[in-house]
Amino acid sequence: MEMLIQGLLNSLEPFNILVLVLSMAGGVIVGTLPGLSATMGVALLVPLTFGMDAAAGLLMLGGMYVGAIYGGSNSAILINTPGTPSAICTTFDGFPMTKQGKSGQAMSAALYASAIGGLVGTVFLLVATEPLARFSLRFGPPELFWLAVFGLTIIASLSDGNVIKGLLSGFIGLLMATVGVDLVTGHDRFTFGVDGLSAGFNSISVMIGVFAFTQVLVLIDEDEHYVAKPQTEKGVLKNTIKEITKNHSINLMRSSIIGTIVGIMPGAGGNIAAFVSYNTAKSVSSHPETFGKGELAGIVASESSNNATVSSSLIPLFALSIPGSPVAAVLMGGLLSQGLTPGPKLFQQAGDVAYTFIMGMFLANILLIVVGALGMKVFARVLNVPSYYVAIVVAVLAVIGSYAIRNSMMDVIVMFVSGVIGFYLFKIGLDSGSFILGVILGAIIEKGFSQSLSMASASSIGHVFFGRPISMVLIALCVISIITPYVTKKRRAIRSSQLEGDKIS
Amino acid sequence: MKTWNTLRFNYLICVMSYILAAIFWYASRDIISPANIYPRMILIGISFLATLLLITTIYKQKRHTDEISETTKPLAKVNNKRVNILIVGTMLYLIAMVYIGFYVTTFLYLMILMYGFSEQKNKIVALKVFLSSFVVDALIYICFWTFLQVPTPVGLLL
Repeated sequence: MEMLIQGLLNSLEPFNILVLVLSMAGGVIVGTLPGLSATMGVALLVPLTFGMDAAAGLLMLGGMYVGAIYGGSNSAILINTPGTPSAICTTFDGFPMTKQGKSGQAMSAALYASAIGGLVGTVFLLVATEPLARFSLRFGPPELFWLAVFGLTIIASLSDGNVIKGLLSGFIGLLMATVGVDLVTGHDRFTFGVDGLSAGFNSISVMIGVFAFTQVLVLIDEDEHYVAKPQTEKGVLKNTIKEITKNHSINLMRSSIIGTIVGIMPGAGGNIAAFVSYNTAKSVSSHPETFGKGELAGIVASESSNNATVSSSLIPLFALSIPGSPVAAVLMGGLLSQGLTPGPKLFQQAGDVAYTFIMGMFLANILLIVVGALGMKVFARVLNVPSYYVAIVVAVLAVIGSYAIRNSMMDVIVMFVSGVIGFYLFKIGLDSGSFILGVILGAIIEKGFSQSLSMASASSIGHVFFGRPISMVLIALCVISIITPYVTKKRRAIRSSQLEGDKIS
Repeated sequence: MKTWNTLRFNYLICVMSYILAAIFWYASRDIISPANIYPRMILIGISFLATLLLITTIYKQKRHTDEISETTKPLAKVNNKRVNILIVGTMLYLIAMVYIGFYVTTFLYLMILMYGFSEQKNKIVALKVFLSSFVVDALIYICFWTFLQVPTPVGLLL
């Protein structure tokens, strides 16, 4: 308890607050720009922490992480281009709200949900680090395989128009994710003699192409003067917080907890958390037909869950010395460079640093509302700029963003080609959300599948894939997730026919 | 007309899916088992879904029903001239940046396409476009090169 209070007091020191605010502001910018990831932002800051006090250095990295994951929602909402993969689900309802002139409400919802999600994740980091870390170890390859498949079942609820086309788009995405060196044999696969494809299609490049460059083509094709009408209403943040508290608090808490649980699993990240939370929010909603058309609950689910993963992804690192995500691995490097070894002994050997960091993460999520609110005003100005200016600048950002991933022109070409193909394919009815889901989850699904097959050589395939308790729960959730949209649709049809019958009688 | 368009696109999707599955199946013959199990399962899935789409499309055509996409503009109404200018312009930009350098080509790309897509074309608009391109290019340079130290393709110039 003494350590906790000391950590709180340390985090409230003016220098630490300044470090948090500046790194978060930088994080918001990094997150907003497509292609610049939270990992890159945190990695860029690590050298700056060498000359700093250990706690302040870690707070700087934590602030960047929080800001970057939230920042992805700004571009997702304003120009239909997720700044980070974890903001993909935010585009589903965020951009339609912008088109309806409700950009301020959408951005406010994303900001508030991100802050609350982050706070919930940090509560678990503080009070349940060890039990949750032990639970995460029960997630082997079969469980991760089913978790990713569960994320993929969102396709059933995304594709309201034609489920077959949605599934087909998802399968094509899965196929694209198989290009490159095979995980089992180490041989090139589906590269068709192109050396540059040996490393596979980078999922971030494909995402930038499918969302950002396709959106550039859409803006040029539509030839409208502005992207959308900006929302200039005063007190929009306050009103949105009131509305979320009144109508979406259960969704907010549920999605934050889903994000926390998904975040602790090594390999799963903010994108899976957002897919699962969005799917759940839609499945349990009394009006699922409004999702994808500008539903506030969709943004709340997506943003609260992805920011909840920020703190929870550090749980395996703090408790077991296992970095569960790329950012956690970079943070581990930061800790080691300060002479601190992450793991169970961290709290005994350097409790002041560990608790300052955890209490600082609480503070970061509270300060996020202030930093984000200021950022919102700046970013929303993009809606006052003619759409052809926005389109060309986004095209340039898409190029530099995809090049920055691996300093490779191949990634830029992949981005450009997937953007052009995406534009035409989606015009003929294939679904971009389902396709990108397949590309992003494909690597996790294949890894889980291949490792499970290897495990199955020692016992039966049936037991490995279907007989483990957590897998059975996840399989049941997959079935429920696929069936729910059909049941809801059927119920709606029966209800409307009953209403019509009542009117006639 | 609308019904025929969407259904015709469904046939196109089916044909493209079959071709994609056939090409990848042929390429998968060199992959050693068990590494080929997962990609082949996906290819079977694609073929199955394409067949399902074909059957439902034929059924819909017979019953004269159709799903209507509210979010996308039909392909027939795409503004081909503007879209093609952007695609070709971007292709030239990507080629030029390798030889000339990222920041110089970005300035030219921004200036030419922003002016090209402008509704009005006069000296004031040209000046606005020139200044906007310069400011955007400078901001990208400061943000990416100076602060984030993100490498960009370097050619003969910057």
